[in-house]
Amino acid sequence: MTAIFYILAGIMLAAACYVAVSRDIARAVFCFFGVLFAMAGLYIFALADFVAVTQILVYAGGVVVLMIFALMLTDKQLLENIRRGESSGPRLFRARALPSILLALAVFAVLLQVITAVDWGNMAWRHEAVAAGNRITGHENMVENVGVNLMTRYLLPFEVISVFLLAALIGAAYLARGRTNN
Amino acid sequence: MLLQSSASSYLPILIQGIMALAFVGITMVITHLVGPKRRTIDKLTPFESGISSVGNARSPFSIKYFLVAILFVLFDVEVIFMYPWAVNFRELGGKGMIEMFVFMGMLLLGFFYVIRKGALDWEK
Amino acid sequence: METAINPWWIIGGVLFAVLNTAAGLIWVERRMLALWQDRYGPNRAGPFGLLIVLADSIKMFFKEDWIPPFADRLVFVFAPAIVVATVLMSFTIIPVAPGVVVADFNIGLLLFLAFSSLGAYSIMLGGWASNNKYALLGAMRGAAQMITYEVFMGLSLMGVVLLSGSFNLTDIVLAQQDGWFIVPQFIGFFIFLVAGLAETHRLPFDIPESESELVAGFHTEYSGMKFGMFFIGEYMGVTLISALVTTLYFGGWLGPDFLPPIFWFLAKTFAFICLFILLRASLPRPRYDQLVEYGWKFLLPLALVNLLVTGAIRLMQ
Repeated sequence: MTAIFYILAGIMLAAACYVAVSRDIARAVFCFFGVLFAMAGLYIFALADFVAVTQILVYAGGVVVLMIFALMLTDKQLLENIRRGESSGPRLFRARALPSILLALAVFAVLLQVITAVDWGNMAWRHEAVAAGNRITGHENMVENVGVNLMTRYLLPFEVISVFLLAALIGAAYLARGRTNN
Repeated sequence: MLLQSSASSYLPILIQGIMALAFVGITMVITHLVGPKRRTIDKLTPFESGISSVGNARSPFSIKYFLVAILFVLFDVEVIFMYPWAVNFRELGGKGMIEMFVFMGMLLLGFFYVIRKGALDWEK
Repeated sequence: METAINPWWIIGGVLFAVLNTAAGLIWVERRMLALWQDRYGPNRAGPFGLLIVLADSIKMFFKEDWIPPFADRLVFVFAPAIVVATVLMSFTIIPVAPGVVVADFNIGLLLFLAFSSLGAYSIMLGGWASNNKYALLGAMRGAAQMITYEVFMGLSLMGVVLLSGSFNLTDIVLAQQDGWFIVPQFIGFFIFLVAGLAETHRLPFDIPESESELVAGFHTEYSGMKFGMFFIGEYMGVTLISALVTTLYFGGWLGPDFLPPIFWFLAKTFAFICLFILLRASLPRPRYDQLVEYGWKFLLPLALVNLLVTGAIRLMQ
């Protein structure tokens, strides 16, 4: 099982790197799909099977479709022009990519700092949770846990999500209308 | 140990997926090797019912398709939130049902706005 | 996961059964269409034309495996693999008989939805990679159609989940011992059937293909075994939806005791496959915009009302 974990993590990292480096947007989206799929596998290892399914259903099944549609909607000629404009210089270290590389390195440094600073075997919340018996043994029905908590403890955030979705819907209607008026 | 017991229950799906991909891969490789190879000029252009192809196939599309995709993502999220509720329907009772319908009502409000704006009408 | 039979046998058996059913459907569909349209259908190769299955597969194997030079090679090859893999993976959650299921999950139904949402990719990527106008039009329509009906499929299944209180398909079948869900969930069944037709893009809803306008839609540029994968994937999709309808609304393996449970499951599934073929033989194809409008403006409210009524009745009990 550990081997499968590392294989999944490896696929994810490799695909993610390809997404970052690739200049072909279509291929990048295709690999992003692979990243999401491998990530769903990792969620299963974290005992979060509901999250894993949600990941496939919403991200791999929905958001990537949206991306591909966006790709199909964009003007190919425009994309070609942009690509031709920056095609000089080595692949990885173009001047325009410098800010994003710096940002990525900064985030990585923060993460590294966190990973090294935490005393993994001795975290306070872990001891508390174990003492209170508040932990997952791997035999519960995770979906039921999620449902009960959403409807009781986290009711307000849950209802706020609906407002959020409402805003997105109105935005979508506006987007479509703006185009048809042209 | 516990972690293994949960993740390993997904092993059959992984195995089935690998077997399916292996089946597809093997049959495709076999046909690739077995089938004849004949390069002719006619095959080099996209098939458009015998009329010679004009312009790039990947031209921009109607925004309506994109709108359908956005609606899908939003309602997909809604459906995902409804599933944990549906499973616990008995325990959550009438209160849970009201809570869910407030949630759904919000989304329907937006949906009616989209319909009223005519965003889903193809001709407009 | 207590199965009396070795899980490897079940995996192998399910794969074998599904692939053979899909191949067999080549013959079944043509014969049945011929019957309903007052023709002979295939009747030359072997008894009743049964060997057409063999002839067809030999033809596909020995055809030229052509990847157009204007296509995106990687995506072009992957697209047909996606449809077969996702459908085959969905079959893991279906209980064929008591204890005979590849993976007995708590979230079985959600897994089916997840895999079926991936099915849209095969059409979209296949059509996009072909770089052909017909293929691209078919891909756009197909993708919009499939994601639209994905939503209603999820909503219609919710009624079953409300009644049984579980995503586990074995539990759902066992919850139907006092009465099949087709009676309280008739509307849900109807929506699921329509959505299933749209998801498998079978004939009344074969808008991504529509021969008379788009030649062959998203797989215009495909040939040989790659086309065969789309072809067989469609039949496997039909089998999957039929098996799910049986499991969710018609009591799965439940039936009178004089025959083994697996027989009842297979008989019901086959009956629904025949229904799919009958629908193909009898219904005309709607226009793309009609289909999408029908989905959003009629099926979505219907599914929500169904859910509301089911919930209210369930609360009063």
